[in-house]
Amino acid sequence: MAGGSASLLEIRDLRTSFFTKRGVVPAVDSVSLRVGQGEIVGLVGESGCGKSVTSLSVLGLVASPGKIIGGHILYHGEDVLGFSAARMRELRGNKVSMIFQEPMTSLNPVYTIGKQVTEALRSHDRMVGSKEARLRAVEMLARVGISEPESRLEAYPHQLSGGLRQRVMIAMALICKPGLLIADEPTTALDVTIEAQILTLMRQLQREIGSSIVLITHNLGVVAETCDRVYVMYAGRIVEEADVFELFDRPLHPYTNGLLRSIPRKNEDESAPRRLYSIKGNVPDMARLPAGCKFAPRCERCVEACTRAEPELVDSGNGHFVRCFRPMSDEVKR
Amino acid sequence: MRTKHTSLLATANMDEAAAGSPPQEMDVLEKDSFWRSVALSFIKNKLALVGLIVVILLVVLAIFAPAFAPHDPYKVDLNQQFKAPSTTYLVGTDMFGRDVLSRIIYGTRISLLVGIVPTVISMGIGIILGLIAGYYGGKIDFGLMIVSDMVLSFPSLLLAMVVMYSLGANLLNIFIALSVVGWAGTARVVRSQTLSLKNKEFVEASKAIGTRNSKIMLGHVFPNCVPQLLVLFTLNIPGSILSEASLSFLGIGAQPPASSWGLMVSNGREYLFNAPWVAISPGVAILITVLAFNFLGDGLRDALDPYLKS
Amino acid sequence: MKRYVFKKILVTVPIMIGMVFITFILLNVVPGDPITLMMREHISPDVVARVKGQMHLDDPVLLRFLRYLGGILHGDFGISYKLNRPVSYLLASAFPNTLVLTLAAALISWIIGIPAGILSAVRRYSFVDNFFMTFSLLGVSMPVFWSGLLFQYIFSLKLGLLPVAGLNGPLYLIMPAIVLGWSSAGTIARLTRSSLLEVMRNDYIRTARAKGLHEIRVIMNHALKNSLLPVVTVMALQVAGLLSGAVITESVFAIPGIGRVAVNAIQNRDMPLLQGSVVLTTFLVVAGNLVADILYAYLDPRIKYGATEAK
Repeated sequence: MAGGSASLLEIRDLRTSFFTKRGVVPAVDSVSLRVGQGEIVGLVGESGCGKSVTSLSVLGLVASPGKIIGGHILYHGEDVLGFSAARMRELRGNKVSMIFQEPMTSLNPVYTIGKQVTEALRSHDRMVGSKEARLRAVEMLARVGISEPESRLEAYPHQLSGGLRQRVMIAMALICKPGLLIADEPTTALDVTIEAQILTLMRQLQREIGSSIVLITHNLGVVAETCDRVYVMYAGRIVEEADVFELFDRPLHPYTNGLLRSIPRKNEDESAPRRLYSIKGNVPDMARLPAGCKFAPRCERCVEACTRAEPELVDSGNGHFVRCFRPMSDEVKR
Repeated sequence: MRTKHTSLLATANMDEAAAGSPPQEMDVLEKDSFWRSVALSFIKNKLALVGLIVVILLVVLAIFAPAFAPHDPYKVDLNQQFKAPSTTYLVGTDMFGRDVLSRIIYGTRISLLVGIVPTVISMGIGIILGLIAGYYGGKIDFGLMIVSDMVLSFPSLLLAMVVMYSLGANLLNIFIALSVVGWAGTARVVRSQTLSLKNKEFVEASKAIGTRNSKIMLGHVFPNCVPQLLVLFTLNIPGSILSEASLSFLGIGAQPPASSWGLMVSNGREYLFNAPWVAISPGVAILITVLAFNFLGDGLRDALDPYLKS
Repeated sequence: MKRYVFKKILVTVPIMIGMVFITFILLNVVPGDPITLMMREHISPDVVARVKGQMHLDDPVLLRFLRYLGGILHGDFGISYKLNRPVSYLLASAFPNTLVLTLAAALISWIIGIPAGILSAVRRYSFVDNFFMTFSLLGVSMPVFWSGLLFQYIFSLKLGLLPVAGLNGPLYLIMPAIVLGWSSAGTIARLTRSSLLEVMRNDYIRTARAKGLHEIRVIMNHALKNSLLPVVTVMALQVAGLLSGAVITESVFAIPGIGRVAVNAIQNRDMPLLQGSVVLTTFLVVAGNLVADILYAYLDPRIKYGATEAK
């Protein structure tokens, strides 16, 4: 299992809510996770489960009407939530970087690539002159697999394809050699072939630079391909945590199990065609969550106890945690 | 070596899995509930409400001017010249001893008429031309666009001045002048709406069952333009009012003894030092009226915003 | 980019000609014989005779128009009926005054409008925001002639701080420029505010913050350049509004500019003079629109460099 003993990032009981006209939406409700040195940790869940908000909270980028209302975010042991604005700026792009889902709109259309990449470097290191910054930018662009990096420096974002732009984003994020890279659905907006390339690139860079990565995605395939450990989120909570192999072999939470079951696979027995499985019910309305277990309305294993109280995250051995009163056991699976 | 679950790569999508049962049927906005929801969001906007109330008050004032005006606005009494504002003459008297307040109240008629009528006419012309241009396209569209570009490029006041020169300076001709100047903006808006709606399915469907073009334009395309046109209407009215006031101020609009606010300001100019109320107060009336329509129009636009965007 | 500019200029020429044509038609094809009209206006008989000869009134309208157009291209705008001087001369002496007034007003509107818009956007719903938006709304709603008179009353007649009217030095320009510029300032402030607010919602702003940039840098470097694009176009397009407003402002403050010339021409039924001033003014407006288009293309790299997809 990858990762050292000292946690690079530790999130403890983070609570981030959105104060909207419709009511208070607890987007992140007491989420705890940790990322070790050199680890790639996956954070999976469907849209709206709070995984993006969690990552934005780390960098203090949660937009109004969202607000972090409690918990701790420890980077190298220091609580980021107590940071002044200046220290936060020092953290962002420098020690903890983030890349986003939409490469098409995440780059400023009126500035050249070169300007945006060198800006990432020079805003954190005043000593770097413009010439040196350009050299390092070219070097970084080459490292992320962009051909003819010198000429690309003068290009504008609209002149590049989606895959190239995402590589530029990665270059911008890694140019200061951060300890942690948060990647929020970096490949969702890209072609499958480009997706594979970008993921390979990220893994390769992670090994070379030694950063840890938090990879946020709703795609289990990406998780399987890339991550060392996985957290599964549902309705603003962590419902399962495990090593990646462990999770795919022994999913304990009914939700995780449902997700794995719904992956379409080739039917071995042609005479008995199988229906595509999908989890019954709908994505919950975060403003009106049920009491008790949040997954209960959709759970096939739900019993009365599940609707009355919310289960705690319980250690199931092997670093495998699950939040469920009736986790899957070997006989019941598949 | 890692055992990769690579077969999952292309197909594992949690959203599809989580989607579960099919999405609920989307609410279809009925015409009634559309306007009701617009009205509701409009009411929440305090400034817009103030605007609406003031506009209604102005309309009432205009219609029932004789009832509200304390004195006869045309009565000349040289003994009462330049009286400062008092309890008898709330806003004082002018150079002919006429009560300024009464003249302002009667002036509301002119202003509202001049605000609304040319706007209605010019928008009517603009709507028709815009529909035709957008719907039929081709040379007609091209020609219309060139002409409207040219009209739009004129500073509106100057164009109005030119028309007034040709027709002669009086209130009636102002209606014509303002109508001529104002159609181009509406035409463009309607044209672009028509262009974007032209290719939608419901138009294709209507054509397929043989509906006459004019019916399609009026019955299908036009109703979709209504929200935008409503906003345009309320926001064009103050422009008309200001234009008339300016033209009358310059002497090329309403002529004495009409109680056009602009004319009143112009007449009061020479006496600014001694009797400032003569020139200043009609201007206040203009300001209040324009503000009221602007609040109303802004409020309408904000209330209709989600529908305008779609 | 060069092709774009060339195309735009090419389109502008026929529009300009068309506008001159519209003006010509409106002023020369009035109901009734112009000669009779002039005689009714008591214009001196020798002027009538001269004009009758000059106007070749029996010629078709199109021919008269082309003759006029040809004249303009040589700088000949005809002779003023009332003042008996070449229109071009009269316009040339009036034009600089209008130019100075309009430029001063434009400068004021940019210098006040843009910072006001930025501050309002950054401190949305605060006192500053409300103050500037009220100020803007007033500017757009006040009739220019009224605010002009109000300024004259307060600052000249009552306080004696500034000269009432005329144009005998820079001090004379202060009130007219402020009065004229207030409305433009209002429009610009509102537009800057809404444009900036919308730009701030974009993803690349989030990226800029995620890079650890100072909020001031995020706004002034990343957001501003994008939000000023529409504002810049509006600034150039405001030439039309400013010139309209200048007509009134010159009247209120007795500034001998083109606006005043035009108003006098109307009152004196001096058609060539009116025609000349309108043509000149529309030329300025069209030029302003052209500048707006080119400026926008220059500032927006998407247009400047075209969208070429590189893999």
